[in-house]
Amino acid sequence: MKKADKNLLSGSTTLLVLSLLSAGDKYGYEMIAELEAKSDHTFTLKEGTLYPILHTLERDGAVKSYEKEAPTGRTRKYYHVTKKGLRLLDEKKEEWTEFSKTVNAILAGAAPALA
Amino acid sequence: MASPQFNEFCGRVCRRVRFRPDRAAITAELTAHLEDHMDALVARGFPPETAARQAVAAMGDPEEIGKELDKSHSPFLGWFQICFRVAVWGLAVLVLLFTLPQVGAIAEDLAAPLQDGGHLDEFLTQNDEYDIVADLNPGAVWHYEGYTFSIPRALVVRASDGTLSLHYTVRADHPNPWHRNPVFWDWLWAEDDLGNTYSSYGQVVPFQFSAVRSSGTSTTWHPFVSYYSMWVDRLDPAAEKLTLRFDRYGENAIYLTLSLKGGT
Repeated sequence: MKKADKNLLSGSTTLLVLSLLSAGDKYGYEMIAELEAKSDHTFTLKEGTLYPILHTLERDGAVKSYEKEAPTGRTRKYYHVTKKGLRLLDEKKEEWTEFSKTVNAILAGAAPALA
Repeated sequence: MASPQFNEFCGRVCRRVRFRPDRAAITAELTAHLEDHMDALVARGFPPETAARQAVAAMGDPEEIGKELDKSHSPFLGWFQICFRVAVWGLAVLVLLFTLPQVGAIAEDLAAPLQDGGHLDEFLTQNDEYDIVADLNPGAVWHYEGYTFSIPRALVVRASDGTLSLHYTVRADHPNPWHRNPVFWDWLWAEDDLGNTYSSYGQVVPFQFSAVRSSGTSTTWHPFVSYYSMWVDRLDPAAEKLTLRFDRYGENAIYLTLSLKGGT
């Protein structure tokens, strides 16, 4: 499978991060690993870009962080999605659905012309 | 386990973060990520050197990450928060430093001393020409609108010219601290069992100082207890009982009867 375009991904990374956290608290590397596994290795975003997103979400009160010992025995910085973050997730989801619907509609309309 | 490559990577990220106090936390978080990734690769069979290099490469451009992180670690907000925290703690410490030495006084104030006969002791030392005829602990209690009035101690004394007078302490208990120190002293008059009345300021109209025979004033007040130092002058030597009354507004707000004989 071809790797997804980086730009297409960057706008929706916040949505993906919030979505992952809504299923349970996680630390950075855990999110990356889960994202890769769930997307069948389609999404291999530059891992470092995750942290500016998390820190911005934390500054805005969408997530909270705390230190906890991971199953590996090491202390990791976990992120927890707040109520505000869950509301943001709903908004982002709606935006995304709207966006993909529009793209699909255009593609469907344009398809015969391309054929 | 911290590889020099990890340190170099984190250093390059943090150089872009202007708010220095957050750099340590960022370094810790990124190093943890790099270690986790490296461990995963080693577990898949990569040699440690390669695994470390790949983990760093997967992170992306450190300058770019640093620049983005800098946006959510604003130095202005960061220093403001630190100053604010220092100010709040400093203020708390200052308040404690100033209040701690007074804790004893405040506690005493709240608990309100059960005995406050100090005013009568003081009265006796200042007026040693008086002979004590009776030192009394009248048990009378009067309840009125949340107040409880009582007389913890009363003294019947004889002056050098032979006249008798009563000096006593009134205690008013009040569960509501806003009701402390009720004002009644200018209107507390007395009558004895022989029918004599002892007028207060309120009853002497037109005012004539020598006609005032019952008076006093408030001395100390605490949140739940107030004390008054009161007197009745020129007692009838034959009187056995005295009733102190405050009925300025019609009802008996204070009505305390005490025996003038007995005691020690």
